[in-house]
Amino acid sequence: MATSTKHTTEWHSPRSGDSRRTLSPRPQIANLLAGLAGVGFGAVTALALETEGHSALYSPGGWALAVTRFSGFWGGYLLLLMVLLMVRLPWLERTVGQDQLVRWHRKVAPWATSLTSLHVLAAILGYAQMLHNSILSQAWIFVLHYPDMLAAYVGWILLLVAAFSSIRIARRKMRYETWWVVHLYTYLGLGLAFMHQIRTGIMFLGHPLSTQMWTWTWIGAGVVTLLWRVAVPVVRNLRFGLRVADISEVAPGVRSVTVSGRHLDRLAVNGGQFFQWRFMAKELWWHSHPYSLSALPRPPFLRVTVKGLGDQSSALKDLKVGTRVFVEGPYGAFTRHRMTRERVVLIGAGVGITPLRALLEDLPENRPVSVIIRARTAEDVVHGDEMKLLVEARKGSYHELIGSRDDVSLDAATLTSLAHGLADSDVFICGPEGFTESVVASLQEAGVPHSRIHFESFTF
Amino acid sequence: MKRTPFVVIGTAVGLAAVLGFRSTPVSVHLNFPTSSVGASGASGSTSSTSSTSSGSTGVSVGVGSSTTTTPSTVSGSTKASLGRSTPATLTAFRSATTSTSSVGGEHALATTTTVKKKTTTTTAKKKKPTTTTTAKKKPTTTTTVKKKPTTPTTAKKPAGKQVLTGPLVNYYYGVLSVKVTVANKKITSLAIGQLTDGGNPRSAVIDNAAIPILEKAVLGLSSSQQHSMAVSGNNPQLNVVAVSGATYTSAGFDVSLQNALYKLKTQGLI
Repeated sequence: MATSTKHTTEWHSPRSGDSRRTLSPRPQIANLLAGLAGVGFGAVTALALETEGHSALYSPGGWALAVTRFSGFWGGYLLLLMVLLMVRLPWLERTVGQDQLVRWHRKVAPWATSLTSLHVLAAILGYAQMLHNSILSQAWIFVLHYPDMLAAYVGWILLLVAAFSSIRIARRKMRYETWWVVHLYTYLGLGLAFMHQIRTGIMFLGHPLSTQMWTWTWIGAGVVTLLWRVAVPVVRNLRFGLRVADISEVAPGVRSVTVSGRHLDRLAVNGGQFFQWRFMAKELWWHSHPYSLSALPRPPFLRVTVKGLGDQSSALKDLKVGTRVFVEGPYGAFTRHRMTRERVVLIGAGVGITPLRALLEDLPENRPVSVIIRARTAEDVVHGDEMKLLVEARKGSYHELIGSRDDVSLDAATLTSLAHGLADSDVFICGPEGFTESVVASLQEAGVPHSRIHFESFTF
Repeated sequence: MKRTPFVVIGTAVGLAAVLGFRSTPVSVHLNFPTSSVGASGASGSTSSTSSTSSGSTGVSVGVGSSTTTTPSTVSGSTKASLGRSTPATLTAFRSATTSTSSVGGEHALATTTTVKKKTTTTTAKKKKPTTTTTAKKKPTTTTTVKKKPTTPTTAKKPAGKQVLTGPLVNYYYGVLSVKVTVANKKITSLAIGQLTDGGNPRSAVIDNAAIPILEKAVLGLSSSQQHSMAVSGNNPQLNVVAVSGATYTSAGFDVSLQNALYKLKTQGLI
């Protein structure tokens, strides 16, 4: 088809003009948000602390109730932070990177879950001691007689289910969709657990200002979540109206999907960033996948290059031209803004070459650049021709290392010989997990400091 | 991690801000009745200055409380009330609530911080309508309250000084009685004779915050206003002094105080 050739060739040509909008990372905003997170943590700690006193501690159930307050506030606040880390706040996404945000989310998760559970148990124990009830009957009394406690229990259970579903072993056995729906329910759980804080929390009693601030913090978190996770993507996609324009095989089992849409000149994206892609076709629409752009946008076109891995990726071969596409993004901090040195080295393998391809295109033209690509066979090199052209335009060096993992070793000596001034370069790596690990090790051996080795890791 | 200092500084700021600036706003409403209500059947016991309040007899007011002040009976009745049964007096308490309503059996919360004082209209004279102060009080979570016995500053007990403890009133969340000290026909100090709030920390906080305000409010009244509070019965004039957010405690306080004052009046002590 004529259009097919047209689209595939177009990506070779240099992009005309550069009025494209770009986005810089915002470290100050990230710092400010980190500070705000701290303020909130200090504030809730103070709220719990202020309620304590000698006589409160030494009255019946006093210690358990103190534990209840601290664990409740800390657990609840950490849950709030976990939600906010995943809100896809654009400034955070391109400053910190989604992989790092997810890592923090996972790091906080066990604390939030165990503190919340401790809160539930300590509350039952403390009230049972204070009111001289048995523990079981106290748990029941909470449900029956205390305002909003039933909802809070339900919220806690929803939270526990999500927590268990995210444990590595369970996560592996579970379909992505199941995990996703369970996670969606945690929003409901948090909503249900909110009212009991205000209604039974002693620190809010007769403190209208504290109550309002806490309430607005939660409402604010909800609004921000709805805004960035729902409203912004929906509005953008209605505006862009993306549809599949072309599908072509660029290497065995690897396909380039070109989509077209309106107003793409208004889309600000950096080379190396990714979107969550959702193809609105049967068996595909309920599943979104992160794919990096394999070239900078050429309005009205965007391109991703996908390998046949995973359920969606293999179903992509049946994808039809004209299918609607829904994207969320751009996300990721794997961009030229990570550079701190004059020289740049890009090292990639397999389909991991694609973000490097876009990143290369995004580099300032005067930068000396070395590209090192490893592939099993010469055929498997994705977008090798495009990379060559881009490197030539930048007077850099381009190396393809062909052979299996055992034949071709990317050790410190090889890397140093291939990349000029390696020790004084920024190195961007993209490839399978094992590949990235071994390259990082070689680079460190070659004297590249960790702060100049850039990669994204989505295995947690 | 790069941003750890920001989180740490933020935490310190948050801690300092809350610990430094948080206070408890609780408001007082003084609604003086337009007509005095006469009633009967109240009693209280007068004791001489030297004796302690332990000798005083509690008097039953309302359904939930018994006529004795033995702790077991008291706690029993308290438990019954905490079990969300509604004593008969509660209806009266509720209907008398002016500024706040009780939600789901919980103490109502206050949002206002001003103190209002209305003048009584039983006397034809006009008085200045308000003196406004802001009441601030930090709550603590002690489960029992022993409020300033306020011994007179003079070491010698002035002649004519009398202490009387009002009836033990079941105010739904617990029981309390008010101890009144009078000298020269004026109230010189108020204290809590007995208070059991069932150990519920919520109740404890409310009581601790509200009672000092109630005491202060009564002491701040003119003597004619104080005299008009001398009424007996279990539902004489509610919300004469009331702290919003502590509707029930206030009502219980009023009932015990008014009965105590009535008894003192009948003895010609005020």
